[in-house]
Amino acid sequence: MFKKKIISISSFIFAYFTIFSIINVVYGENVYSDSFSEELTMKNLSETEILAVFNFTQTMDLKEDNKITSYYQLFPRAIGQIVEKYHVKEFHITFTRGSWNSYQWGLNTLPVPVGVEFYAYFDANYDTNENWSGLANAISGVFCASVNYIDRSKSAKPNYSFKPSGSYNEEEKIEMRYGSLSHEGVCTENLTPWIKLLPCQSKMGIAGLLNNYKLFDTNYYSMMAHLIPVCIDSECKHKQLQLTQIISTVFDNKRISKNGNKSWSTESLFGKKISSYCPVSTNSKIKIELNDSDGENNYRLIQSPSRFESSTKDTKYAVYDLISKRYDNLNIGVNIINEKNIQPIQKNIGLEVYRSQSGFAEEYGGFVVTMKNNNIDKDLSITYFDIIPWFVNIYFNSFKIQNTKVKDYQNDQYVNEFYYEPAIEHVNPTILEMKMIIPRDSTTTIEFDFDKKHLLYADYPPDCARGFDVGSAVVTVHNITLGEGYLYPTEDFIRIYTEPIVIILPAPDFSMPYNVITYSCTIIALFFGSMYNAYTRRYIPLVVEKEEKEKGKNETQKIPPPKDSISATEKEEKDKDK
Amino acid sequence: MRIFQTHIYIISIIFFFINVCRSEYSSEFHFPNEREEIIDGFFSKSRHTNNWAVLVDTSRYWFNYRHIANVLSIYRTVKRLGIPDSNIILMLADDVACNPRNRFQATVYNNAERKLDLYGDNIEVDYRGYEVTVENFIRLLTGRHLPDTPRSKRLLSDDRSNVLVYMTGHGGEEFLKFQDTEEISSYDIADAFEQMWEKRRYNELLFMIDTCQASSMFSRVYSPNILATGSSQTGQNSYSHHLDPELGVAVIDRYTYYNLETLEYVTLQSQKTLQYLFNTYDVSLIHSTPGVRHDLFERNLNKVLITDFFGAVNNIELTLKGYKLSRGSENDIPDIKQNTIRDKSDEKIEKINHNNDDHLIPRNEYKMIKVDFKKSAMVSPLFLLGSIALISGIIFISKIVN
Amino acid sequence: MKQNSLPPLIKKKYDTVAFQKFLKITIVLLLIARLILLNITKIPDVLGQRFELTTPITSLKKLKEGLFLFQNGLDPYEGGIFTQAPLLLFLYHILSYLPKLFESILYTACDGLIAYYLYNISIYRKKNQLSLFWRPVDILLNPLLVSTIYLINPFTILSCLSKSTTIFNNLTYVLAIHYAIKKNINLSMFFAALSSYLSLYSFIIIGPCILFLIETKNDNYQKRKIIIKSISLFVLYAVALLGISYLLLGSFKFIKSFYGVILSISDLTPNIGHYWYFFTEIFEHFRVFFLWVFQLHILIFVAPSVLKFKEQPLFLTLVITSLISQLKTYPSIGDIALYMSFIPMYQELFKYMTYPFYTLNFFLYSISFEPLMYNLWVWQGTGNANFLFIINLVFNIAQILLITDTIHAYLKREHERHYPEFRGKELAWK
Repeated sequence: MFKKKIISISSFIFAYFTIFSIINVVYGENVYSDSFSEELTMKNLSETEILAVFNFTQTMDLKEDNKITSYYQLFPRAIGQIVEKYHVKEFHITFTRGSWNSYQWGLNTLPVPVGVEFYAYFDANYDTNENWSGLANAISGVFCASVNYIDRSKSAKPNYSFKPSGSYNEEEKIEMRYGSLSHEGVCTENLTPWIKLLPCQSKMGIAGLLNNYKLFDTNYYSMMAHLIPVCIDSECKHKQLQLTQIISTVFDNKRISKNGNKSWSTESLFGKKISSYCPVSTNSKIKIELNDSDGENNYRLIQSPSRFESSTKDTKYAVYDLISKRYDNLNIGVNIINEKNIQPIQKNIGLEVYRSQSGFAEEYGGFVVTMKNNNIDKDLSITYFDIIPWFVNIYFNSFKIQNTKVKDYQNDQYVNEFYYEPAIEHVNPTILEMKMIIPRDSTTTIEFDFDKKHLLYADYPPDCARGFDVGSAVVTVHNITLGEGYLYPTEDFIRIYTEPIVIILPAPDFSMPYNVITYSCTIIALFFGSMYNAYTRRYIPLVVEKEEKEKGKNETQKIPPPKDSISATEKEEKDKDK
Repeated sequence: MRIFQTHIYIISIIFFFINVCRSEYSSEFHFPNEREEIIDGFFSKSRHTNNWAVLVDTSRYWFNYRHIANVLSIYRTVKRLGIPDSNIILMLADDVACNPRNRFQATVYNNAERKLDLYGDNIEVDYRGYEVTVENFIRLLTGRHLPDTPRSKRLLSDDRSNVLVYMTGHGGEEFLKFQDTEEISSYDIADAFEQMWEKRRYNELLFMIDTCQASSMFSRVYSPNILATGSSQTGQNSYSHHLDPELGVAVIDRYTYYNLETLEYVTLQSQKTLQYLFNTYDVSLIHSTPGVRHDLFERNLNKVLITDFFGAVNNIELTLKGYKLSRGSENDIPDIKQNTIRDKSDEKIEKINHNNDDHLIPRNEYKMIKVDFKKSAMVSPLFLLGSIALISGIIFISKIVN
Repeated sequence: MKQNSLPPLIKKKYDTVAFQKFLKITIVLLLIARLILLNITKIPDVLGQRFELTTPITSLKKLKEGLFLFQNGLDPYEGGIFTQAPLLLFLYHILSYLPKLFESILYTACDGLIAYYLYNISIYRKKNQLSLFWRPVDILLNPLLVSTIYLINPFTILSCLSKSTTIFNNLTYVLAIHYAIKKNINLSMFFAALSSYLSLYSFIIIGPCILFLIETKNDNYQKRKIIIKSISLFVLYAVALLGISYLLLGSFKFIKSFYGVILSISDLTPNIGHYWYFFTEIFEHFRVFFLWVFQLHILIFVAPSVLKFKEQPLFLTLVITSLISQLKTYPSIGDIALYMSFIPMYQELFKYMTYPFYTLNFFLYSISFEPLMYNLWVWQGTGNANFLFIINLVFNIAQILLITDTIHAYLKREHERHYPEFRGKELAWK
């Protein structure tokens, strides 16, 4: 009787444990502390241009002392290990090709320069310079790009133009480094590893729409990865690392659409359909931003959404929640009926910035930066930040900062601060950072001259006839808040990038180093030989024998004959010459 | 009682099996004499356990599209036959897929019919653009990298790796042009391979090269276990195959094209040998005489499978016994940790590259200076004193001396 | 020497008083023309950018940049754009407070002063000609003519108008020689130190200066005393100048930035020499070796020249000046003008020159092609750096021809002087 009880109890316990473990295995997703969410927002920027912004966010909790755990679940180990090794607090890298047309499309809410922009914040307790070069090398391996070329000769440490996006305690000391490569191309080999950082990669979820053939056929393509620390609790005792991967691209429907009509769908743009959401994501949404001012007459949605959300009074989002409602082979799109009311994402803030090169030919030139404040009612407080490589010599006495409205602009009231770091050949570039106020309805012009340097043979790239690149300058506008619809975490400043510039430097002839060396050495030898001859040899008279009439020089070494050997006639001839 | 007994039976059977299995996989249990041969017998006859591929395109500019197509064709073949991206080092000197001149963005074709895109959607280029230099290539082969070089840019082969090195570009007698500015000579390649041999970085190496006068490039190689093949003999040019009128450039070279004709039909299980591949070379089609150099290669070409170099065919054999491997014979070079190689020449290399001169300000300081545009020149009073002292000194001395 | 058979001195018709007046008026007009052109026209701005006339060591544009940095309280040597002597910075700092006219006056005055001291040196030369030692001579030197030739030389005019700072170097150089002729050890060594402070290679001038200073002394002990005195004074003044520069700037950075650039040719801007292209194309491994070779190449000629021409220190000056101007690392037209101004003092050598017309043509050809080839390379883009390089080489050959011919003429004349009976005979070269 007693034994039976024991047996029954033990079998119950056994069964309980079995069922418990089975339940744990089945409901596996609750085991992760990492989280992942995916989102796609699409909107018409004009009747035939469609903006698509992919946003993939992953988070990973940090341990007590803000150290990275060694137990990686969803968060990519490649990024985590790099961040740990180089004491990185946050980093931002963007790859861009094409240009954002701000006239028609409004402000770019994810501002990027062309090429690669890369900046990071480090723990200042360690050697930041070494960590910066180490991080650049490691990131170049992760993203298959030549980011390792961002070394001291292209990096800067700006003071005002960039602010850390993550949350930090007071006692944390961080140091920032910034670099950019404007000539770096973006292609499938950068997209492939970028997708591999996602937990579901492109097999499931919204990332399944990423079709490189379509993405690289766009007018504007920008791919980013941002890693920032985020506080979990209000006192910021516990933090988590947040890796946000964004692709922002603008499709040109004129070229892509087959019949020429203005409708679009995910299938027509990406060529693929979404099978299902990524199982480990907590949030999987596709939003289409619609203009709502006139009611329902502007568009017709192909699929009805899960719900509608309104952001501002004029715009609303059609939200397709892939988790709550199961869609099979989802094709989402819009048939446009009335295209007159398409608004840009964010109205321009009224600042137009251009940077161009003045002068021609390969001896000297200049830069001209024009900043136009179109606001009638508002002065803008900006910071202009520029990295000019060391292969041009900037003349600081040629700096002219002028304004169309203010006569004496170059004083403390308007040009608040002017920082620069002079260039040293082969070591670091010229870095300019200026804080200024642009009065309302005026244009500020910054002009300065430079000399183009002649470089060593080895400093020229293989295709030097193309020219050398100067990266985009960054104009940061302070004390601006944007309304709803800004796709990136809200901050109180925005950045505008200028165009990059190509400077053509005079190049030597690369095909004949040996010839040059031999010619120069020949001239030196000629000099040396002639002088040596002149110094070590001497003139002696040549005696002509009376019998022979030879006039050979150099072979006869005659000693000067006695004086009576000279005929008188010769002497008279000589006197006559004089 | 009966349930209890069955429980005990079950538990004891489980214990028994556990013991048996543990003892079977225990490391003390081995056959001392024949372990290496048995283990070797499991692996393929060529003794290699892993495969690496180094694929290099050395030319830049749009009109050299065909060189990039050559390399990408081999890349695709090698990936298809099983070598993973982590074991492939792909060096492309220019980006033609996303080049603005490319009518078909994000694609590279090696055929005018454009049926197969070589670029695909899963490609990892390890060295791109300006990074394809002679220095980086030799560093890659010899393993002497600068510190901080990421793992994907290193050739982490060992003494059981079969390495395929494929190079294409413009070349001449005993040299190959890199990006139109520098060249690598056949002596450099031979020395690099010798360094690889000394460090035991390959088991067997297939060196394939498609340029003009290709055979001269491997004429100086002197390390064992190297098989080399090139598209033409010394004094001969290599030709492109055909051009695509919509792209406007030639899309493939003849030698690679006819190699692919054979390689496209090779599968993972294929038993075709390299001799078969070399026998398919037809001089009248390739328009140049391909060369094969096998005097340094110990195995008979009839026994070497194509997949020994172009694929990663892993034979998996399940055993019931465990085998302890010896640490290797004393003749082998001890294990060199490749991540932390820092001999003196590396430091010298780093110095040359990083221009370690003393400069006016310390190299690593980021010193932003604030400029005030008001004139505030400070001529220190010491200077004025000094100059007055100098002038008075001159006058004084002139009184003394004269 | 046989004085009876010496030919008489011939006074050619241009030795008249009217001619002297004409020369004086020409000199004044030239100076006024310089003043006007420097002050009023835009010619200095255009010429100040020319690569033949200004080098990174002597460019006024870069000096103004350094001055701007200095006046704003920044370190002028930090950027690598200003690589010139610090005392020039002080000089221009003073000039910046004066009206613009003073800068033109400074340059004109420098040119005028050089002409004046050349006049004094020519007077010495004339006395030398008349001495027993150098006779016979058929054309007596006209000192005013030497000054006029200096001022009218297009090289000097262009160099002055470009406002390059070579003129200060030339002035101190001529001053050093002048005071050495005047047997003033102190000032001669001071100006020699100042000249080598402004341009590194001028320190060689202490050779001829010492020779001038010990010229009339016969006593070995006195000669040695003078030599020791002059060298120690030179060193003292050089150190004092460096010290003053340190006091002005507060650091010794300028040594690395100024003399370092001269010695290591780190600025590869084209000039009329050929080192810039050589060091652009040289491989890294050999760079230091060739730097050493080229710098030593200048030094090895000093001692042999001094030994060979110790009887004629002025000719030694000519040779040494030509040596420095050709072989310095950043030559410019101003340096050429300096040694060309010594050549008219040796008019009697002209008839011993074997190919003067050839040399003249070489000069004209190469100097007229230089700006053209630079234009083709840098401005039009139709040419190559090789075009300019080859013309540089031709120009160097022209200079080599000139100096070799002059030395040979001197040697021939010396031979004739020693063996007057062989005058007019053909000579062999052993």
